[in-house]
Formats: sequence, C-alpha cells, structure tokens
Amino acid sequence: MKDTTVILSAHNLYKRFTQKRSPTSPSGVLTAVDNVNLELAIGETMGIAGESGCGKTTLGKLMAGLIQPDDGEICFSGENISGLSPDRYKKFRRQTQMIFQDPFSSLNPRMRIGDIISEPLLISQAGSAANRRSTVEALMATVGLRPEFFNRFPHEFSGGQRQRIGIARALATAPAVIVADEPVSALDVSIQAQIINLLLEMKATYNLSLVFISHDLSVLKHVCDRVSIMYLGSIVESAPAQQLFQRCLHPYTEALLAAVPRITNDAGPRPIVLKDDIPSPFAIPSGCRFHTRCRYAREKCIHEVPELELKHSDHRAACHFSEELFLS
Amino acid sequence: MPPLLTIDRLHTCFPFQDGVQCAVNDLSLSIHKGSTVALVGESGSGKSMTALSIMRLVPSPGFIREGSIVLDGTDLLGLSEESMRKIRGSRISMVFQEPMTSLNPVLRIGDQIMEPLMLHRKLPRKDAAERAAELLRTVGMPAAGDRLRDYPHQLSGGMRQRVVIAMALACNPDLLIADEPTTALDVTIQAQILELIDSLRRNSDMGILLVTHDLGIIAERSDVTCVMYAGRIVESAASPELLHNPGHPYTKALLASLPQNAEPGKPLNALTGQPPGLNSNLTGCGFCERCPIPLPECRQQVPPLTETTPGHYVRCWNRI
Repeated sequence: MKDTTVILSAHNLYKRFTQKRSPTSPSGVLTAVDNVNLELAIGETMGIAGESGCGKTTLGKLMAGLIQPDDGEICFSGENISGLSPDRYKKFRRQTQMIFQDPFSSLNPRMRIGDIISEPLLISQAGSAANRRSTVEALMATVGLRPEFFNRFPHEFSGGQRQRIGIARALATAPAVIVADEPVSALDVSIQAQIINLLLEMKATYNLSLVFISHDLSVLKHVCDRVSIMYLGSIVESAPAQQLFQRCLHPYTEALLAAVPRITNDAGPRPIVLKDDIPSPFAIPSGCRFHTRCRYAREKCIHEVPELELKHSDHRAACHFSEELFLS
Repeated sequence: MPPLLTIDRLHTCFPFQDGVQCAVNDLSLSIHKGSTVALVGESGSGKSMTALSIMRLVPSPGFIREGSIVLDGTDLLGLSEESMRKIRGSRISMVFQEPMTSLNPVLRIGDQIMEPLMLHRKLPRKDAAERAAELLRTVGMPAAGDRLRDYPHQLSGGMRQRVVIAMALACNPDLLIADEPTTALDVTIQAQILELIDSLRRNSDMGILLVTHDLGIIAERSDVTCVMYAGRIVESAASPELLHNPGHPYTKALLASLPQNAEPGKPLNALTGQPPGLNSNLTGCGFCERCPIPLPECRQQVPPLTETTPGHYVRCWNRI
C-alpha cells in the first residue's frame, strides 16, 4: 500500500439496542456491533460483508458518526471523536459522509435536487447562495447529471440517477471518508456497473477513503483493497481482498463464497455448505458464534471464543482451526 | 412430446394518452415438463408482466391484446374467469419476489397453506392440516408441525419464502412461476431456496419459469434462457450456449459489465444510458440507443428473432 496513514479507526466498538417486551417478543439486548476493531487508511477502500442482520449497516453508521457507540471509540485522524468540542465535531461531520442503499427513501421527495445536494453546504455554512449554486452545478456535472435538473424532484429520476444524486450530496462537503451502505444493491445490473465506475472515479479524483458495505462479494472483490467479513456483530475475518478471495481462513467466509451463483460454473451448483438461518442476535451462541452452522465445528468451538488473530501476513481470522482446515 | 406450456405471440399492453404501448411485445416461448426456462432482464423489461400474463393477473388497465397461452392443450386466454380460478394455485402456481408482502399478515401460515388444498382439492380441514405440515417439512422448515400456528411476522425472510413455496406446491402444480424468488434474500439463503426449488422439479417433473436478473442464477439453475429487453425477447438459447456464446449486443454488454469478468479496481465495461420507458414510442430496435454497433436500419425497423445456430435465436440486424 502506498500510504498507510490511518484516517478512520474503530477500537473495541460496541453498539447495543434494547428491545422492550411486547406481546410477540420478550425484552432483550441485541449487540449489533460487538467488539469491532477497524482501521481505514487514507485512499483505501474497505469492504464489509455479511448476511442481513449481521450489523454491517450499524457499523457503517457508527463509522460515519451518525450514531454514537455504547462503548469503545472511533478516531478520525487520530482524534477520538466523542471527546471533540462541538466546533471540532462539526468539522468531523463534514469529513465523513454516507451514501445509502435505497435511492428511493434516502432522498426527500418534496425537495428539489439542487436543494438536496446543497443542503450539506448550507448546514456547514460554506459560501454564498450564488457560490453554492455553482458548486452544486459543478457537482452534478461530475456525477453525470445535467445541470438543468437542478429544479426537478426525485420522483422524476430513475434508480441509477437517484444514486448519482446521493453521491453528489455526499461529495458536497468535500469529505475525506465516504461510507457507502450497499450503494448498488437496489440497482439493475447494467446500471450497477455505471455507479461502481462513478464511485471508483470519484475516489481517485478526490482521494477519498471508502467504507463499502455490501453483501455482493463479487462487487467487493472488484472495488476493495481490504475486506472484513461480519457475523452476528463481530468481524470473523479480515484480509486484503485478493488474499481473501484466493484463500479464506474462516469457514463462514467459505460458505459465503460458495453460495454466490457463478456464471463460469460449468460443474453446476456447488453443494450447500451453510444450513439454516442466521441465529437470533438476541441469543448469540456460546463459544465461536458460528459453531451452530459450521460444518467443521468441534467440541472446543462450543466452549471457547476464538480471538480475531493474525494468521499470516495481514490476514486475520477468528477460528480455532483455520490452520488445519483447507478452505476453498 | 408437446411442451407443457406454449406462449405464442403474446402482446400485453397498457393504454396511454397517445395510444397503446406493449409491455410484452410479440413474445413466444415454450416450457417442457421437468425443465427450467429462465427469463432475464432489467426492471421494466416485461419479465414480470409475462409471468402475470400467464396467470391472467395483468393489473388494470393493462390487458392482453393478442396471442395465446396454451397449457397442456387448453388456451388459458379463452377460459372464463371461473375456470381460470380453478387453474391458479392448482395447475399453475406462482412464487413472488417479496416474501414479506405475499403472505397475509393476519392469517396463520398453516391456514394459508391449507387454503388451496381445501379450495382446489376439497380436502377436509384435518387432512389439509396434515398435508400442510408435510409440505412444510418438504421445504425444510424446522419443527414443521409446530409452525402451522405461527404468523408470518414470526418467521425470517428465508422461512417466509419457504412458506410461500409450500403454498405454491400444495396442489402439485404442473408449472411453477418463480418471479425473482430470491432477490430479497441473502446469498446463503438464496442458495438454499434455489436448491429446494430445483430438487422439487427433479422429483415431480414440474416445469419452471424462473424470472431473474442474476446471470449467475441462470447459469446454475436453468436449461433455457430468454433475455428480454424493452418488452421483447432479444435472445434465447440453451443457457450454457447463451452465456458462453452470446449473440445479442445487449447480452454481451451485460456479461461484460459484471465485476467477476473485470480486473479488480479497473473501470467496469458499463453500458451507458438506461433502458427506454414503456411510453417511448419505439419504432426500431429498443436497444439501439445504447448499442455499440447500431446500423441505420436499427432505428427504423424491429429486427426479427432469427435462428443463428440451431436452437439459438437472436433479434439483431447485425446477425442477419
């Protein structure tokens, strides 16, 4: 890697949600993010993958500063953001922006496109109204929207174009970090490629660092430098993308990879390696949290929690037996 | 053996202020017993509308203007509404995309699975309940017997989709239409559901129409693939042939734009532009605006679906 200066990092991060008792469910505490450590280097793209409900969106929101952690800290350029003065905190908020999954619900239907994109500028009180207008028009041009669209409403646009609006809004404050939460999952195949290209282009132009959350491993393989796999709130494996896709060290990663239908697969579908649903996050299994679905699980896995440890250069996995297993 | 289902020149249309537009335009395909035909395309390409036309559930004000849909010798379009109702859920059933919205939230799942059995097969309640539990076991629901009294909200997305499949299979249909059955699910659950549908096909000789936008799924789970664009089939062939030897520029572009076919970090070969809307008054080929190799005639006339090699059909002026 060219530059390994860390811009955004998480240390022993926890986020818990409590559920009140209701007629259909008992009360309980859900640990959505459970002791997560992450480091994002300047100019790096970090992928986060996992099944729905594994906490990847919560982690993304924590990293973007949209919600506060219950425990642990998030550091931006080495500074703990929860200890910042209101003034400095505002500056931090300008530095991290988020792109959301659903381009239909993430834009206010009653606001004009121009106002949506200039709102972050308004909040951060950057420039005069005329200045803002020209900044917004320049941004619209960069993301491939015609400046004439300034006064239109979101419903006049297709999913792909709306995602461009979301990207322009995220770029408005000239951030250093963008957290993209499933930015292409809701789009058609032919539009997905356009938006992925746009994100890669913007990243290169503005030297952005990206946190790219997705359940689509082929997309992550394409855009990411590093990939972390989450399961029930914890990171179970983290490695440089190429290394991870070449040889993963956690059985869960293996299962995720095996489940992706492949075009170049002439041998037909591979046997399913993962049975059942993800366990309830209110009752995380003992020991290794994956043991209930793991086909390699042994006695030790039920009782002892495996640490996320360095297995070999830059490759971490939380599995007792990763050295012995030959995962595909 | 004649095909189980034959669709011939189907036109499903919607009225607009300035005339009628076809969401499904001149579509013909056939499905044999025990085989899976995949319908691929982007949103708005007409694939779901084709599925709904077979069920005769085209939403108003849409209507089927012409064509025929023949199931085992009977033209479905000529049937009375009452006879059609006897076919839906009994001989043809459908699995919808959203397992959250295709179940009734205020009915127990047992009752929902029993409904087609009691209506179509006239089973008494007790037998229907037994069969429902058996169906839930077939679709891999853990503790199936106890789940009959559950409501949909008590189940996860994957389990709800299993319930929807159990409902669809209740009367041993000849044809199963699966409209994006796994789009709302995780990849791990998707693999389970696709394997389930596939194993049921192998065991019961049912024909399947699989609507999807995922090219990986058609590679692994279908025998024949039809690619739709702007309401028309633009290419159809045996699935391996179509994926290895695509003939239409749209199919080629789709395959080329996939991340797995690109070098990591490099720009993807994205298709520019977006598909035409339903009300865009196309005179020629619907794809010509985005096509890398358009010919003058592409704007004037719709190319015919031509057999380029045996069993491989392409709708493109460049291939004629």
